[in-house]
Amino acid sequence: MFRIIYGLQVDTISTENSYNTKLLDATYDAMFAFEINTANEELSSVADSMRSMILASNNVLLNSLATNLGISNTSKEKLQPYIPAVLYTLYDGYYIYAPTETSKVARRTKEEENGLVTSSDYRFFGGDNGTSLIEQGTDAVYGDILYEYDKEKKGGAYEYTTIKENAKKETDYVLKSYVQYSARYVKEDVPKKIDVTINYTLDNYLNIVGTIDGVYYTKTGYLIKKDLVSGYNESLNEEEAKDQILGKQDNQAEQNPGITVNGESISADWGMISGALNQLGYGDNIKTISEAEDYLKKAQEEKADQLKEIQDLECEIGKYKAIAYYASSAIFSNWVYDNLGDLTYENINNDVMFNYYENAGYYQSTSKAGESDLYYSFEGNTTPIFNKEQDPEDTESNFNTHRIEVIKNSIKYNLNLAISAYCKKNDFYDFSLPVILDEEWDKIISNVSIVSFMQGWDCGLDIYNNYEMVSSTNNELMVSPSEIYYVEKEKFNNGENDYHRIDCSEWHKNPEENSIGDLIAFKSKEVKYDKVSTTTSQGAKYDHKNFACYTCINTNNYNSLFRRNIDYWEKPEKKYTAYYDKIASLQNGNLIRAGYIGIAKERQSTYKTNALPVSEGYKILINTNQVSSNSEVILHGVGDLEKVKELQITLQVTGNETNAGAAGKLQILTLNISDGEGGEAYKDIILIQSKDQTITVDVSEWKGENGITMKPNNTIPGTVAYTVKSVKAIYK
Amino acid sequence: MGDSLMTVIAIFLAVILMFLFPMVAVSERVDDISQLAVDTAVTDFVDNSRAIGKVTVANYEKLVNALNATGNSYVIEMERQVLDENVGKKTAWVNKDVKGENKYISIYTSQILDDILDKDKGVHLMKEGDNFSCTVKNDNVTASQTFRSVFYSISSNNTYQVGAQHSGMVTATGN
Repeated sequence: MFRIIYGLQVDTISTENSYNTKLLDATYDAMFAFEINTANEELSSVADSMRSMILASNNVLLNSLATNLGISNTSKEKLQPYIPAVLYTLYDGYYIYAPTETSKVARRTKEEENGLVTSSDYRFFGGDNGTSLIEQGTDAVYGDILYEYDKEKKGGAYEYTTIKENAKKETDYVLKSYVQYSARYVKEDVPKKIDVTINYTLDNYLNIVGTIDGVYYTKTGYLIKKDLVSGYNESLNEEEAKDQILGKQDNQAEQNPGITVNGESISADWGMISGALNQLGYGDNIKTISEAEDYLKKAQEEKADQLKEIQDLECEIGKYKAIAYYASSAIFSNWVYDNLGDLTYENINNDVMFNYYENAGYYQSTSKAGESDLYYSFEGNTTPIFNKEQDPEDTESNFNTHRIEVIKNSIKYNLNLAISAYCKKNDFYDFSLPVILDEEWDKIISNVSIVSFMQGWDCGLDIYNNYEMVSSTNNELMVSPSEIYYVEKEKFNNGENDYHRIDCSEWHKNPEENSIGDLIAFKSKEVKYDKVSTTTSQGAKYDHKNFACYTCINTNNYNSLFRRNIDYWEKPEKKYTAYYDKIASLQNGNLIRAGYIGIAKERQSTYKTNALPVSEGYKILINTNQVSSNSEVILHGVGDLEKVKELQITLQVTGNETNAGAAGKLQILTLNISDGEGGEAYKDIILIQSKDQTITVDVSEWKGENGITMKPNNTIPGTVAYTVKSVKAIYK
Repeated sequence: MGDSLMTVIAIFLAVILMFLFPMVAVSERVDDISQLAVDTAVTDFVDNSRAIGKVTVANYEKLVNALNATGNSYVIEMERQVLDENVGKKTAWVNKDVKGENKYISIYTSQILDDILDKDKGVHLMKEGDNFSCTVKNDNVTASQTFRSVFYSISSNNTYQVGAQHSGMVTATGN
């Protein structure tokens, strides 16, 4: 008797173990599929490509799991009921794949699967006249989506309805809409009224949208330590600074830009780029860095034998990008510290989550976890989020701690919702959200990850309930500092030398050869998923020909300063947690510079799916009409112009001068705008009646303390007058 | 006389039936439970290590503690097969699907232990694509083995009674 019970228990546990292993392997397969897809996709060129990649990855997960479990023929459909959720954490948000209740759309033929009502359908369904099969009282019109009517629950004899609520419900397994790692912050009191939404990412990249002191800002950039960088043009905003360095469209890239990062000066040489392009035979008639990059790609395909020029281009373009990254990040960070320095943890506005957890009824579907396991409360916590004294990239900084808790709260909340909803639908097993361990959270929120949950599967005496997590370090979406590889410029792609991590002891192996030259950086992903072919040509397109170092990359087990290094730290007793501290403790100046350039170049090259199109702030100063003919208009409410970049004044010509603006009699009126303290501008408007015209005045050097006045420079013809409709101040 | 002999035989049989057989049965159940614990511990250890990409001293101690709790002593053997990223000069490959063979370099128990038991390091890091395996066998003679040796001559000290093995590919680069 005992023997049988023990035997069963042994079987149960070994079955559970084998399921764990199978689930982990299937999740790994899914991640592998995702990595390959991102590596071979131009994220910038295909809209919503991410979603299809996730769906593909999810198919891999289910098929691989089915095969592992030995049920391949029935595969997906058989498995789905046991998968309450699959979580995909990406760079700036996450997807949850979970079953969702949807209204059943009426379908007549295959061709009409979208369920749209066309005029002939409408009559077929009895909508126009005759006995109506469509629910009475609904104003169904052509083009509406027609659902199947839920006769059992709602009663009545209709077949179809256009009211979603009365439709039959079915459970579909869908990828739910993308949720960003975002939080809203509201601060009412002095000194500033703040109401902003901050979108976090897996690193220090931020999107900030909202109102600060009445100015509506949209800002995007990397948050770095204050005063980490010096030697940039502080009068520009982050977009302009970047454009100036890299060149944009018709602008010329800055010739020899330079910057100082953490005491190390980094400079780039335009001559190097134009020289290399000349040697390659492309001519030096280029203006921007992106053009140079295009030529570099071309050279790698066509002129791989001219290695020195390729090395020069690769290295110099990297420097340009790094300088652009540091300049724009420094400007963005200064803006954040100046404008949002007062924000504290408790300013976060997460009423929805708070109310949800307050309602005890919602705990039922969570396994043994208390409230604190599900939800981190920021209530009463007055720690400032953006602390000037700290490095936000330091894992122990306020910013980082807060960011992690915000992301965890959001994921737990939505995951719990998904699993709770599923639990209500399935009565054969009580699904619940397992408690994810802290060390696993660390992995989930520092890398792109997949967490797959499997529950309800019968295994002997027990019912299976577990999850497996796989995180990725080789993808196009984000940059992990430890996964950037370096090789000396002269040795890049020569097919003979090794590439290393920045902190590899091999750099110091030969003390006589202590001079390390310029380094070229690339991500681990580039080696793992070399883009060796295109869809159009089978030939090798580009390949990394250096070898992986056997000390740092192949064995991945060495004294690294990204981990716990004792060889290369200045102060072994100090535990470095910030990237810049670690790099600064390296012994060779070129290695330090390379470390600074490498991470910046890779971040600058990463395509951001969530980047905001403009990075600026604006405020409507005057929204009431002010009419003037020949006299002066005072633009009220302009006030301090210190942070204002330009004024956009919208005008309309009124009055009854009949000839004004008529064909052949187009007349120009010049307006004089000044702040009375030396700031002055002349702008023309065309005398066309009743048409909005906007003039833009650059006021970046103006003071504006005495108010802005506007008056006609010449005499206005006839009785023409103009109305100031609005004045919009654009902030830096 | 004949009665006394029968009595002695009866007592002898009774001892075997009433004490020895139950003891053998119980000792074998003990080994079954040990087997269960060892199986779980080894699978957990390997799966956890390959999921996070490192063998940590904490995980290793957890394994050792779980094994010790069974009351036997064990030999723990670990092997990490390091995937060689250099598959030859890739320029030579014409077919886009072929990137060379995957070669592995093996690292064994003592090298792994050197890393994880080093107080400054405390961890052995692995990279994605490596293989990690662990084999555990008891090296003492369990009670059931002793009893069995009474009955069966084939049972010797070299065979193990409780043993488990698990392996898998490392899914993340540890750092």
